[in-house]
Amino acid sequence: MNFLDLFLVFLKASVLSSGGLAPLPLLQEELIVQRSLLGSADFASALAIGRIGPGPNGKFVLSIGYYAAGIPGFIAALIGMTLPPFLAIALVRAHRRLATRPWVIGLTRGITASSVGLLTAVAYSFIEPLLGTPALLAILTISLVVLLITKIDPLPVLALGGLAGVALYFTGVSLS
Amino acid sequence: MHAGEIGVLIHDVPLPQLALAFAKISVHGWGGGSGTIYTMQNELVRRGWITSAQFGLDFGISRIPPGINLIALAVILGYRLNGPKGSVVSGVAFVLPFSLITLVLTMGFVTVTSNPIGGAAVHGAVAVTAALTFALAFETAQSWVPWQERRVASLMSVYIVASFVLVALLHMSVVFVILGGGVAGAALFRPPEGGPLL
Repeated sequence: MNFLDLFLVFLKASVLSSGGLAPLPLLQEELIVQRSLLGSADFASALAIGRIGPGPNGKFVLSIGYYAAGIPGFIAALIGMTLPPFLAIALVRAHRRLATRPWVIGLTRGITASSVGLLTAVAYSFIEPLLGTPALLAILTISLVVLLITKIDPLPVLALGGLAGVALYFTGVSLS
Repeated sequence: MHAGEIGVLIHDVPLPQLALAFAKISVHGWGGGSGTIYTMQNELVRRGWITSAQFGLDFGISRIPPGINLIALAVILGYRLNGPKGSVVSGVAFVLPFSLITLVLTMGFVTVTSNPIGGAAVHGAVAVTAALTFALAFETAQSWVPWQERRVASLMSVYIVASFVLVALLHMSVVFVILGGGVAGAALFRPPEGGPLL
């Protein structure tokens, strides 16, 4: 896959999404299902990295770009991720005229509804490989409960998940 | 024009100062989107460049365009503070530092995960990532579905379930599901006449 094609994948994912993890389903379909440029584990690692460093959660696309094609992939993702938000300038100008129109609000709601369903589909795809490993399912369940109830920052939860994985490794539990 | 009015553009913040402020926000906003939003508001209000109300308005607008909302927010704030040049400077100054840090973290991650212990840590982190994705979907639905509008909320809930089934189980194209959501939304998810708009 050449640089331009990869850039267009990231641009499309960015243009057709709004919000941090919203490009995830489209990137998963284009880069894993259709082109096999990276594996599900790389994809999940990219998501974890997106939660670790500074900046928006959506920066995970940069890691996906790197996993897919090294530095050129990173650059393709960087440009594809950065360009669409500049459309915001046109929106600022049109804001008072359009933002309160019912059909625009409805359209935004519709895209958001599809994003919620798609995010759930992505989470489901992460769970499928874990189904044979009860210990990892337990980590998932506990993490979900903790995240939903406490609204805690995800970074320590990720760190604890990683430590739990290491502890399971040393106790001889198979994680693959 | 003065900073006290919501929606008023201020075109007097020097570009080097703008670049420095957004670069600082970029490297200081650890902990995901909410941490960065907090840092951004704190930094710009502390400098006296905008008010909290102006930040709130720009944050709302930044949710509309495609792509990463926080980049759009940096672009909008830059536009407010120094017009088109300001939007480019703030956007680039915000994106580059966290992107380079992400690149370094990714390269380090690849090295770490090439040994069994690092791989085990990733397995644990992947389980948490699945939980994070579920939690995000849940929280997005909580905050974006207008639960007080029962008819619209019901229709949106149906579309959420349909999107999941179409993609996860029937492997339908994600693009069609998103575009379908937009079309269905424009036709069916509108607020009632005379009701609250947002």
